[in-house]
Amino acid sequence: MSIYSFLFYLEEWGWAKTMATINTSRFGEVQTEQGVISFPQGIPGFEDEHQFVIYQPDADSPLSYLQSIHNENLSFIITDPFLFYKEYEFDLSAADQDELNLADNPPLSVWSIITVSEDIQQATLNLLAPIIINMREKIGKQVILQNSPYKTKHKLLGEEQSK
Amino acid sequence: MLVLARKKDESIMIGDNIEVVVLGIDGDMVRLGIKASRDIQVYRKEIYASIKQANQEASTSSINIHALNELLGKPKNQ
Repeated sequence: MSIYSFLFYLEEWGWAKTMATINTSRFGEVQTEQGVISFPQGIPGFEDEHQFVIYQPDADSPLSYLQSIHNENLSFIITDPFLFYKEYEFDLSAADQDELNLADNPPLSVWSIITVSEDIQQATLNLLAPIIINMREKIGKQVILQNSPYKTKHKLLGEEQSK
Repeated sequence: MLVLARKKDESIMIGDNIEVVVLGIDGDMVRLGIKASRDIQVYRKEIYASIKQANQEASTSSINIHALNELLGKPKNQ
């Protein structure tokens, strides 16, 4: 699944160029390529939040917000993990594939949540629980990788960044 | 909470489709086998808890995305 994920992820860049305008309580109206994404199970820790938008405030930046539509105080900073960890790879469990309706290989996008502590230099990337989105059906899930070497905190700014 | 005792190689059924087998016991470590259909997700509880906690930390950070952008921009300019 990992190779497929990556290919479909690349394909996604050339896909869905139409922008939708979504009203969020935090940012007001935002333009988003993806529209509203539903997370049927919420995400761990926020199981009651089912609708999010991905909002990229600066087109030149790899960072976006995953913003809850209904709760203005709930947002995450997310990014493309492959930009920071080129060797990143994972297998999606059969259960996750079923839940996201991936049987016929719809376009996917893959995101990781960034955690910023007091020291911004110590920002980390959660590679253990990537967010996978079925772009055709706008269904998302933060999956928990099984038997994975990854952790919830990998340095965002580290060796890979300084190449 | 249901409490029961099992020996090695004995199992319990959870509903009709999930079977948990005690494969071995070694001191305070129990090795379990879980037979379940593919739509059942099985996690070690502490892993799920760690994701929850990471999400809570990530969501409460009041950091400005622009500050982080500047930081990311630096290595490219050097």
